[in-house]
Amino acid sequence: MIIRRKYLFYALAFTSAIIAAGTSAIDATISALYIPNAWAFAFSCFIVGTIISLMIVLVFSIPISRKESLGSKLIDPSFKRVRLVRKEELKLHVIAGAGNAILTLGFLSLLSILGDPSTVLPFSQIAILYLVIIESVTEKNMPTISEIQSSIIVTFGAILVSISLTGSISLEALAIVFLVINPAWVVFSIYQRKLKLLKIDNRPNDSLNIRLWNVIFACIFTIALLITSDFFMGTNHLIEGITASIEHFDWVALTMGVTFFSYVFYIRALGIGKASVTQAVRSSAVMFAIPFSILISYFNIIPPFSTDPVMILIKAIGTILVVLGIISFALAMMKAYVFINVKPGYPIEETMKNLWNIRGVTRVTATAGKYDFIIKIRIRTLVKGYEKIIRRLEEIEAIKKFKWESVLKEWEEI
Amino acid sequence: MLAAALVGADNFIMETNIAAEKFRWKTMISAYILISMRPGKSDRIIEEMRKIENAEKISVVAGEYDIVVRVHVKTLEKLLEVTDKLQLIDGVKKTTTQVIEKEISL
Repeated sequence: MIIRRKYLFYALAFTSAIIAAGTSAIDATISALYIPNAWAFAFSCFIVGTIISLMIVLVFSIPISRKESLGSKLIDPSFKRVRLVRKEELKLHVIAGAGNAILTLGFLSLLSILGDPSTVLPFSQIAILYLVIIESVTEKNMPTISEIQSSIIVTFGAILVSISLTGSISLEALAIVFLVINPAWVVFSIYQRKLKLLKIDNRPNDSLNIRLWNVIFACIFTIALLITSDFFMGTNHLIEGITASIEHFDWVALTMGVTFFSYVFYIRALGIGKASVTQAVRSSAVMFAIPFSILISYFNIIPPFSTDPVMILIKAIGTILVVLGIISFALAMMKAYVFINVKPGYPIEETMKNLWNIRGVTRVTATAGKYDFIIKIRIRTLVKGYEKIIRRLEEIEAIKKFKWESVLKEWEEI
Repeated sequence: MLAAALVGADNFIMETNIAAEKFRWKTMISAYILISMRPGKSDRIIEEMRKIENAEKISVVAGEYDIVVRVHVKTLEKLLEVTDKLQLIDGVKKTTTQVIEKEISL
């Protein structure tokens, strides 16, 4: 089945956001009623999460035909069966696992301080700003004015939505948000994307195995952090975590099972779009979290929703800003193919490398036929295409001539 | 003894299957097919192209060509089959096939 790539991307990112909003409400319930210690909760999340994720991946490994397994049919076409980590993935998994462990600890600490998931979730959306900055440094993509504008709109929107239902802002919470959650989220997000873009056995890496191994590595890091804390601070988090995992296995298994699917869809979306854009779309979890918050406040799990008109107005403005930011992120992205002929006497490898070094070039292909190279470009504006790409192509001596073909619409096999 | 032999045979068959599968993935051929078409039939042509099994990506472009199709096939014969199917679509004027030799991508 071929659907437009853009629709697939948004479907994955929005599904992930709705599930994330739902799980944050379950997390808030567990934190308020059963496991108030954030460290113990983080430990049980990963230890129970490892068991649950392994069970899910094993079920999805069941073959349904010679070529397909249940997972490749229902979740990710790149998936075949559960497998061990490959050597080329190891470093990326270690970093992404550390990111997830710190992120989860930060998130659960924040949840235990603030309680309301619709207040906690928006804070993690500030990561968009960090992502745009990091993409501009590490990837071949400079942020445009519209990207910066959108990031700022989403960030301020998230801050407004995050003012708690009782109208207060905690400084401790802000420190956790800016110094722990968001930097860890950026590391986690970037390395998950790098893993998704890897090719394993000549086929794209699959999101199910990526998620499973991420939970395992995050579990190892969390245990290490808990042991360090218990040793130096004299706390008893590890024992509390083990006890909580046994006593509340059902609740933690529920949240980790649902979270598994949220992340699988998120990782798949990351493989399609830029990390910052995926994050922007996923930030719609902010809106989806509000009905879940109302639901759990109705059951008296968190303090009741404020009926103060000013508070409601602030929340509404924040939500509108987040939505506007997301829309402006999603629009104005253009792609193009450039067909290139080269002069004789220049090594192909070197020309390939020169083409690859141009910012905005996402794919360089050496071909046999009428053209020697076909490159794919992804940019925000045509002006940028001229300034950043055409000028640079003209500087490459080996190039004899080239043709620019802007992509108007695109479909991709899923 | 017999059980051990059966397990050994089973392992051998499994390993052979894995090796064959790896070889199949390594020997896949990718190509871009650049298409020029007669004006006025683009929607129907794209609809027809989306039915072709090996078409990985279909891009409508503005420039010398009208459509760029990226295909992924097992053999050159299969590539010919796909090109043939594309040329048989009413409205397709000309196809140019570019077989991919090497690729770097994000």
